[in-house]
Amino acid sequence: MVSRYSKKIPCLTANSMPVSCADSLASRNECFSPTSGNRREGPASEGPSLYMLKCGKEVDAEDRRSEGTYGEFGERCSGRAARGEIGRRVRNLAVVTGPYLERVARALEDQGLTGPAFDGESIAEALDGWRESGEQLDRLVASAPDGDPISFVPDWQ
Amino acid sequence: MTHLRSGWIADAARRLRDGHITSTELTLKALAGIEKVDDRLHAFRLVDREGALEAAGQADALLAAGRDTGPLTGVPVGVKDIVDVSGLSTLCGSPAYPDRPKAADSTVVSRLRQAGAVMIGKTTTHELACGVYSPPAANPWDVDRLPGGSSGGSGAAVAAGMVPMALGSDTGGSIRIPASVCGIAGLKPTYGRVSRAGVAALSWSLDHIGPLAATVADCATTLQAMAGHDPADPATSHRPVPDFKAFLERGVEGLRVGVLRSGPFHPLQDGVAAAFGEAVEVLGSLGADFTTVDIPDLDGTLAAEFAIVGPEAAAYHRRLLQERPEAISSGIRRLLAIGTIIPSSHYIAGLRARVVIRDALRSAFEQHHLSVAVCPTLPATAALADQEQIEVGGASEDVTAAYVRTTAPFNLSGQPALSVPCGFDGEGLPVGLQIAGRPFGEAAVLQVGAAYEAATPWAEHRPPVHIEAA
Repeated sequence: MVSRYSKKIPCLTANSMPVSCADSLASRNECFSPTSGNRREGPASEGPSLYMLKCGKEVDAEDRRSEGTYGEFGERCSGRAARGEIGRRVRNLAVVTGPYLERVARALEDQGLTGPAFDGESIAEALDGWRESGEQLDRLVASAPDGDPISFVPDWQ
Repeated sequence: MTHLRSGWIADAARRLRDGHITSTELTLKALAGIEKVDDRLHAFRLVDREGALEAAGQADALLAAGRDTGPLTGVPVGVKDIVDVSGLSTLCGSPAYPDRPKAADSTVVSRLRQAGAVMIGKTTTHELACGVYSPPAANPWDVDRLPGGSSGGSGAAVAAGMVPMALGSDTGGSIRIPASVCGIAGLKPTYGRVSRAGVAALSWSLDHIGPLAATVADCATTLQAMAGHDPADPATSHRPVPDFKAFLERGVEGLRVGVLRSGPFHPLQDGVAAAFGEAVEVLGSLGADFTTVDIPDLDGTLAAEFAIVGPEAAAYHRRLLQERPEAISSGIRRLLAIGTIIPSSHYIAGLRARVVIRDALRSAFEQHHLSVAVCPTLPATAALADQEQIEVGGASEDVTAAYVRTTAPFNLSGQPALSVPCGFDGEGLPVGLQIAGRPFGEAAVLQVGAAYEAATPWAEHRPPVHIEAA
């Protein structure tokens, strides 16, 4: 049985083993659909890119065209975040495996994160788990009044 | 009728003042204890024998001259290795940090020195204060199990009796997690109550500094010495600091206590659920007035916590990540890389969710007129040191996610939260009771914790790896 808290936090293990929700699920011969959120049976031996393609739903035409730079990707995500669409949007992008991985690699490179220390594929996989949490955050803040989230104070006055 | 446990620090202070022991003797005893057991526990990354004995000698001279500098005078304490101590290096559990002595004390260490404390060494932290395992530190209740983290060395050092108090930091539970799994008290104060100047950051928005100690009274004594505004940390509050110890013997008669059982506080391991249920009964028998509280918005805790920690940690370690990425372990490196490239909208959503969670907790406290809320500190007891998944309520959970889900709500809200021992599971591993209060309501949290501690035997239990107090 797997609980809703079964996914690995994408960083914090005892021995710095490979981490990501994809790793975790694949290791149990299960597969996570980034689009539907349902677990499905899938081969554990195949790489994360393959499992994404196998488990993901058909991508729409707009997603198929989403081969721009990370900047474009980020811009579009930001624009949709206000409408609560970011989770769905970025998950669909995740299904477009090749260009998606290229965008992640380019985003890392833009930030000076290059070399063998940065495994673009594992980072892309872990990133996908974060996008799912983005959808949860969007749901949580959807009912919140507009307010200043930056000047946080713990006080209740 | 129960009586307040005066605490190890208070006992030491009394014996120092009535001449039964000197600070030098106390410090030598602590050093001998570390030498005796720390090859198994690795609670200390660095022991400053020379500096500690020098400070102890100064404390003895002050006491002999009748100059009492404070409640911690002559008492040896540990300091988590992300907190600067003058003359000692700060390595943050990472090979990336230079082994060079720091030129100045952090504000918290400076204040502890002013209160007379003797810094005996730096305690082991999980790498970059970002994890719950804290290798190579081990749990004194079972050395094959994790001591919690990231302040795992502090938890192990106090539980094993090496020192009565050690400083920790808490971004998602890093004081309360080791306190719970090591069977000691640990207090995360309100955000802004204690300065973070001179402490390496993990996440500026969520970092808190606080004590891990043998008893609630020891936590109160330490907080009293550290709390208050610091110009070097703009997040610190100007609010006056109350006399925390004045609240410790007030009991819980008539206090409204909310019981958190749903959302991130469910499921629990059977042993944890049983110990928590008994703890609620004890508080009820002492006169507390209970109500069950359901806060659905807390389900977003983990998503909000990591949406904030990732980008902030990435920003803090940006240069290290760019220039020496191989010096960071792969899992944390991946977190920092993601934190670097995640859209800003995700981070902002995390900050907004934090406000939602804070307001939900406020609403619950106000609607039910709560003084404090209680829940298990963790849904599970100590995992094995190499364990990644843990069974909780018949399901498998990631160890880190399991531990953080019950503690992080109060990092996000900024509320004070205390963990005190509340029993043992079927394997003899400690269980923690978490008591969360209103913002800047540490006094009420300590009041409830002290009343519970005084009514139960848990603070008297000692782990298999333990040295007797001096």
